[in-house]
Amino acid sequence: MNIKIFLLALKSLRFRKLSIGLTIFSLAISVVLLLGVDIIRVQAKEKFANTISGTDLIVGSRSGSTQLLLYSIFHLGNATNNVSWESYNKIISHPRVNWSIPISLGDSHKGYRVVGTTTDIFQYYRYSKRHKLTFSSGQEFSGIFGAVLGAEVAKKLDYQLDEKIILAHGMGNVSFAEHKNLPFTVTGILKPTGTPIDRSVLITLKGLEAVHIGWEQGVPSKNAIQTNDLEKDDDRLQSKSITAFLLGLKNKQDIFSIQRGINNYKSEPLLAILPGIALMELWKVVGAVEKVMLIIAALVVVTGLLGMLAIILTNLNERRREIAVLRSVGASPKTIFTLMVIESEILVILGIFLGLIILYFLLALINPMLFNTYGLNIELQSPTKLQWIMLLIILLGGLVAAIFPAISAYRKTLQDGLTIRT
Amino acid sequence: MSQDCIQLSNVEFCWGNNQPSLFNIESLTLRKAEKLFIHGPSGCGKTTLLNLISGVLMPTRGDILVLGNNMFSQKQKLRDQYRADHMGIIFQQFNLIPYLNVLENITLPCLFSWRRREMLSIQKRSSTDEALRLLAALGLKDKDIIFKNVTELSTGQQQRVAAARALIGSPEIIIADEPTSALDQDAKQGFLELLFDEAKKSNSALLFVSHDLTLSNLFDRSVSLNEFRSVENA
Repeated sequence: MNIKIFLLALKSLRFRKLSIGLTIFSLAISVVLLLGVDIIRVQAKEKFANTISGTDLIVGSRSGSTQLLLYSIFHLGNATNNVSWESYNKIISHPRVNWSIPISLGDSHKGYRVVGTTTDIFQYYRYSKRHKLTFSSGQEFSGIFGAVLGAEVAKKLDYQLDEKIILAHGMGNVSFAEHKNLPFTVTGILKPTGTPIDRSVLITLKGLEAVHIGWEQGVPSKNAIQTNDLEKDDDRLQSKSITAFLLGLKNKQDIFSIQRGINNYKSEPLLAILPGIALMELWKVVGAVEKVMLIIAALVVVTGLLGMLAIILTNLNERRREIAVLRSVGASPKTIFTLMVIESEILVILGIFLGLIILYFLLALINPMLFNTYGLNIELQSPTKLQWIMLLIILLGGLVAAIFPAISAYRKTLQDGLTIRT
Repeated sequence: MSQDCIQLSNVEFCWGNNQPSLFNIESLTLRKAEKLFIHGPSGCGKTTLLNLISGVLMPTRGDILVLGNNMFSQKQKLRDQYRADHMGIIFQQFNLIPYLNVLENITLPCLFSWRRREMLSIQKRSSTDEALRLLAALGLKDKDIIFKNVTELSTGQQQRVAAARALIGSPEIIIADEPTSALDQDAKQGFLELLFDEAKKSNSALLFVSHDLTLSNLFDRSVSLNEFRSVENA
């Protein structure tokens, strides 16, 4: 019996192709939006959390933990103060410290941050589930004036290996103070990581020090070095301070005691943070946007269901004769009710299916683009548990929406009998 | 088992609790295979009468026996099933479901009635064959018509399709509510004769309601609904 009502419902829907088609399409769009927002949300959160991994502590001068995270890892904003080389040396020579990556910021190249560091960054820096930095061409720097470019820097500026680049003092696209005297040579270009490293120019601490000799006032003086011909062990190239540094410990259990030690460091006010906790704190701020987007998407779904409801209710009056005929051949009011509910549910199910097809088609289409430009790799996986729940809620929402016209049809059926009472 | 298809006794109907009764039928009988004409001008409650007989509405008082069964004592679902099994109904117009083709419209009762399917299998005919036979008997001989969209048919053709639907599976009772009012004079006569023939073949009784008295002489018996109107209303 019910399969017959189902077939009847299908034929009835087919008869009103256009309005039904539009309803299905609008439901599909809302499904695409809801799941799309959720997929991007999950991926963005993951990517955000994956910006840095494997690092136990980030250390900088004392400020807020979010600020330290922002300038050291995301290259946003500036440090209020530096960490002296003595403190750095003392901390990294602690027996429980396994490795360290110094980070020295301040200069830029055509708007991209220049990061002064050591080759340890290639060995110890990890992102996204413990990926190392890998080269798409060239290799890590060896001399004083070697530079390694992030993927986006090389791509946007169209740089090749062995290209000479000139650093600008401070940030900004147009800098009036350039370190023209000492150009750097590109020794390597990194693969995309989807982290701020893509937008960085990595150079040696010594190189960074060299370009600033004679720049103590922020402008070049007569003491500035004019030649790349420097000895590696030149005393003048020893950094006096760095902006921040990353620490890896031999034993994870020591994280909190080392953190406490650094935070209570006597000779200089320092701050050590756990990257994971700081990232989560920062996400709470950024994540509000995600929630707003999800709410908007959910409202679009509600709009889609209301649209469906409106169309079914509009059709209902035209269908009173049809319902009277069905009654005359023996359909009970319950059958009419079931027919109406089944029709709506078919709409919702088709809408969800079409939505999923469109969604995965779009994802497959934009995925290579997203990966190339943002390093964002959206895996084409079947819906997550949460997404299945969302779909189930839409399905139930459709059922709830269907009940109103069905009740109305049921009432009219009883009222009309075999003829239409107007 | 009674020889009567439908038997109404002391049936009264009012729309609400305090409303005057629309009519009061002391006794009205439709005998087996009888052609009964009920004359009723518009507004005299003939639609209500049809709703009562077909079990859609319940009388306020009195008994309605259909094939010996008291409709009043049955549940809604059973009354609906009874209608599906034993009654074929033809309306004035708009008889057909627009999204079903001619064949699907004719075989629609078989969807709801096991008995009418059973009747076809006793007659050793498939529903398609029977639909074709009925259409041909009712004057629609073109076989391709069964796959046509009902919206492509003329009013006359639509009424024939409706008649075929009422007749399929040989229900005991055919109820027709002004089925000819949308047809012109010549077509009326032709339609009725074909309807009579088919009703006779399947041994069905025909209850025909119309305001058009000129048709009454074609029937076995004629009753005026005016006789039953309540005094308050008259």
